[in-house]
Amino acid sequence: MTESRQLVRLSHSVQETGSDADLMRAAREGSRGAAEALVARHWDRAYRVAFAILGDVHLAEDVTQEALVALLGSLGRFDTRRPLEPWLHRIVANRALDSARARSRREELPRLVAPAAGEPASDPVLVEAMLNLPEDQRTVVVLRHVAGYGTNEIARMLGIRRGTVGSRLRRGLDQLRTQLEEDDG
Amino acid sequence: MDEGTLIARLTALEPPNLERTRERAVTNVPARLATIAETAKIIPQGGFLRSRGVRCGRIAAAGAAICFAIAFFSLFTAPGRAVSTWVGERLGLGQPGSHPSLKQLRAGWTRGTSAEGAPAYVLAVGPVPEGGRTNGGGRYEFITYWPRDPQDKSIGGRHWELDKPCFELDLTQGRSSYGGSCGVLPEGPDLFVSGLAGNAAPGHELLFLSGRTSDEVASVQADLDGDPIPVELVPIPATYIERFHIGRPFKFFVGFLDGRLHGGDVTVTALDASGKVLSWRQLEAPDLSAAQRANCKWARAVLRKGEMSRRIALRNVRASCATIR
Repeated sequence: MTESRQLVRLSHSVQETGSDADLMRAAREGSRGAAEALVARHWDRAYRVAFAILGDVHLAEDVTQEALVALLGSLGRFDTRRPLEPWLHRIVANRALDSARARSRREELPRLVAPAAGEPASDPVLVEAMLNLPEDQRTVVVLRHVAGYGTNEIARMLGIRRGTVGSRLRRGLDQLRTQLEEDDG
Repeated sequence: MDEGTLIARLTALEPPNLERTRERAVTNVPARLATIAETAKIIPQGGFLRSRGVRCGRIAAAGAAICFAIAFFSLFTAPGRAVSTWVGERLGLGQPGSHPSLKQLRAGWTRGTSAEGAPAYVLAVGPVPEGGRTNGGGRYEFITYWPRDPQDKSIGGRHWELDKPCFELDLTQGRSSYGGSCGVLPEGPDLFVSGLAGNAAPGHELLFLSGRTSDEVASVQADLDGDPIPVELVPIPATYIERFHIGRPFKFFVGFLDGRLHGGDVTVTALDASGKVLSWRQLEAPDLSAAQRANCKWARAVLRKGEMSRRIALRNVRASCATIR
């Protein structure tokens, strides 16, 4: 086997099984394969966060792509020993909120697209109820129950106190429940 | 509803089209990173020019001169444009589903969420014929975008439906955009010809026709006083119709007259699969110089009345008035 083939094989194995840190180092050095692997690995959760905040599949796709471009473009400033996902999700959440604010200025309605056959269905009633939550509560609810972060992590990500996270979460869940019950009734 | 049920619904929330969006992202994100990296190589950061000392100053000056030369070569010479187009293609720009090669033409005009503020997308690409008196070569990119300010408005006496998707035809070699219109999508057997357009810079004339048809049209024929003009009819994929919120399926057509401008009438006909004529339009071949003078006058009026941002209006004036003979 030639040296170049060995390198190719090594590169492929890093992309398939490498840690985020390995992939980030390779992406920082210009490896397109590593960037693709990072996008493929982190897309689903990041896109879910954006969709839960925006309720619009197209805007969510744009926002998530923009966040990944911003993140992968600034890997040089990132400590690769730290986990990537909280950083990514913070960028996604902030950009999704910016986008939601811009949309509200334009008074647009979110567009929900019917899922293709075989794909898991979204919950349009829940998504609509989420859109009625104040931004600060919506962000916390999404990060806690859609992205699955703990209260301490959310406090660190958003730069707020743990108690504030708890109170926003409580108010958000109460309002969601009330609204869904009214919709059911 | 108890809290457990609510949390279970939140946890199970799945956006639609997860697979497809992931596939698009795996292609688009690395391509855009590559574009940014290429741009960064050409545009040095501020730190480079802040270097101290005469030697560093000379290096900075030489670097700036090289950058200027590269920019001049790639923008204003035919081989340079060919090279920059080739590089753009390698980076994924100007391909269907991605951003156009000439994004800067619409900077500040389109809306969206991207950092560049110019999220226009390419729907179809094809070659532009070379030769003759034409400003040809390179390729066309048929693009769509949503305007930044989604309000119907009159600009320079022309009505724009800015709450609907807009379409334009970019010619990469001419570095120009033509036939811009918003919201026009034919229904049933209808045919929309966005008009005959051309570039009448001295010694570089190109006349072409383009437009849109409903999905049921199977072919489009055109002729100049009975002399056939080859026309390409391109169905726009359903995935793009959905992704860019276009509303209904349609087809795009383009035909190049390749410098055969000698007055007369151009007839455009839409036919169904059996060859039955569904619709037709007849257009008088325009006097390109007069048309460009009118465009220049329009762009200056828009600038004077402040109907667009000053930056965009100035760009329109430069584009419309620069090639007046």
